[in-house]
Amino acid sequence: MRTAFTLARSGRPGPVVVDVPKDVQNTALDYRGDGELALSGYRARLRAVEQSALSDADCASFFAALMQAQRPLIYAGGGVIAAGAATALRAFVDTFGLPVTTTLMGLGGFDTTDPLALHLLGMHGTAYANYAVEDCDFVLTLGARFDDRVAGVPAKFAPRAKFIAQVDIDPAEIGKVKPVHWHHVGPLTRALERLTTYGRAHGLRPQLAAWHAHVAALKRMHAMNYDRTSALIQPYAVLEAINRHTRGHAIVSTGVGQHQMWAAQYFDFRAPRHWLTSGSMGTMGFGLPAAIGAQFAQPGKLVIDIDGDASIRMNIGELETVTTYNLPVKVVVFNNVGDGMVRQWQKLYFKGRFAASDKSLHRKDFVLAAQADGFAWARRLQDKAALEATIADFLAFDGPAFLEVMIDPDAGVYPMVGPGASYAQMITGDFIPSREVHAASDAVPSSMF
Amino acid sequence: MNHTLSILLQNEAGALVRVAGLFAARGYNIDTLTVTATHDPAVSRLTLSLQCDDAGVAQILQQTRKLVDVLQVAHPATALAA
Repeated sequence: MRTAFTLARSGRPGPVVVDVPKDVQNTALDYRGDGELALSGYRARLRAVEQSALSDADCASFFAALMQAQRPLIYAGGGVIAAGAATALRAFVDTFGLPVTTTLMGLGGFDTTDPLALHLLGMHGTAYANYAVEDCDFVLTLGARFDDRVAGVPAKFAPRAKFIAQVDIDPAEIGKVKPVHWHHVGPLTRALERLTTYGRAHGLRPQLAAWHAHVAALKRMHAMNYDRTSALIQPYAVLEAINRHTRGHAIVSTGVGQHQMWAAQYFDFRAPRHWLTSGSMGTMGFGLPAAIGAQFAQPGKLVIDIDGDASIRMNIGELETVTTYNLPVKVVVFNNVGDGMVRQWQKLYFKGRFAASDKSLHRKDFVLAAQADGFAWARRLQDKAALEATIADFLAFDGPAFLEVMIDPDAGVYPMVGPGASYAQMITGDFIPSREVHAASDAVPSSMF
Repeated sequence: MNHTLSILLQNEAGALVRVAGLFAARGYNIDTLTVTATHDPAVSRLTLSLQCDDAGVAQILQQTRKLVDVLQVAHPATALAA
């Protein structure tokens, strides 16, 4: 068991399965209380990675490329958070002035309210982040893996980048998806601190005023936006209202789907470990248990589960856990009467065959369900005029609170870089200005996902 | 192109299936496979061959090194060429 925890926490952290057969469970054993399995191969590899450091020559070649660059960009992933490298990243950016875009798992690794923050990139990234990726000529990849939600077409990702650098703790990630010109396998904090120290000592300061102005213009001209005049409640408006109260300091968890992407796009994240979401093979139902765990770990913090009507169903039994322990978790369910993200893909890529994504025949009353599990504050919001007051009341409630919001069922997640598409083909929807003019395409990539 | 890999792994139940599973999950068919004892009873040697391009073999070597039970992975052809 000790070895399992060592494995889970060392190197590239991750889950470990421990299988304890029934006969072992029932066997009387002497408890010795120390020692671990040898795992000599694993430990030797881990030691090599943990001890690796950037040489002067490594730093020199990195800065030779950076000083040539006119439009350098940092692409930061969940590794920044896992490595506890947010402070080192901040110092690096303060010194050299590179704008930062983060992956879904990297949100909070860099303060999203910073002028140099470009928020999320990729399939549902902000238009300005994706345009910056298109425009940049240098990419510094930190603890990120060019996955298919970021680099759907690896050869067309950052097409103008003359130099791509990558730092990761996992040797298998280097060049796995996208070939890189410079890489370092080792602890991220130490690598960033070393680069910062080296660059300062050698007086290396890229002149990026023009690039900063370009990034600021992208952020201004292609800001997130939505239908503000609609009579229906727009989920983005709810998130903006919550964000006005929390200002990036709440811990937010999510399920998987449209609500997850909206929360990633519309919330601010000021610090690491405030964003708890299931990336990659995203697990619906993650939001409520994650919020419960976070509230136990941080009893003084405001913890909000942003959930969807389909995702919350996956683990709805945990509502009872919230009230059993009287955890002041705030649960928001965006109800669009179906699997919204599935519906969005069916609409865009599967000729509108809405198979199994409609839940209008489901009879569940979420508010009654929450009340049945002991929520003293459980309400349904369906009147747009009551939005601000309801959110304020909901967040101020001293105890578990449950809010179901009946949202516009046609609200979509935009921008969107379709599966198998490049950033140049990004669609921004009806409310975010695009800088490209697209010819309508007949080709429906219905086999792509 | 045919590649032969030599892998030292902990001699315990389940170690072989982890290696085989990793190759299978990435779509590589193992053409030949031999597992032998070594002078150390805690360690066995696995020799396998597969059809794979050079980029693929570089990836699979790195992925195999991520398995906890694996002590060493060698690709004798590249070691000789180097």
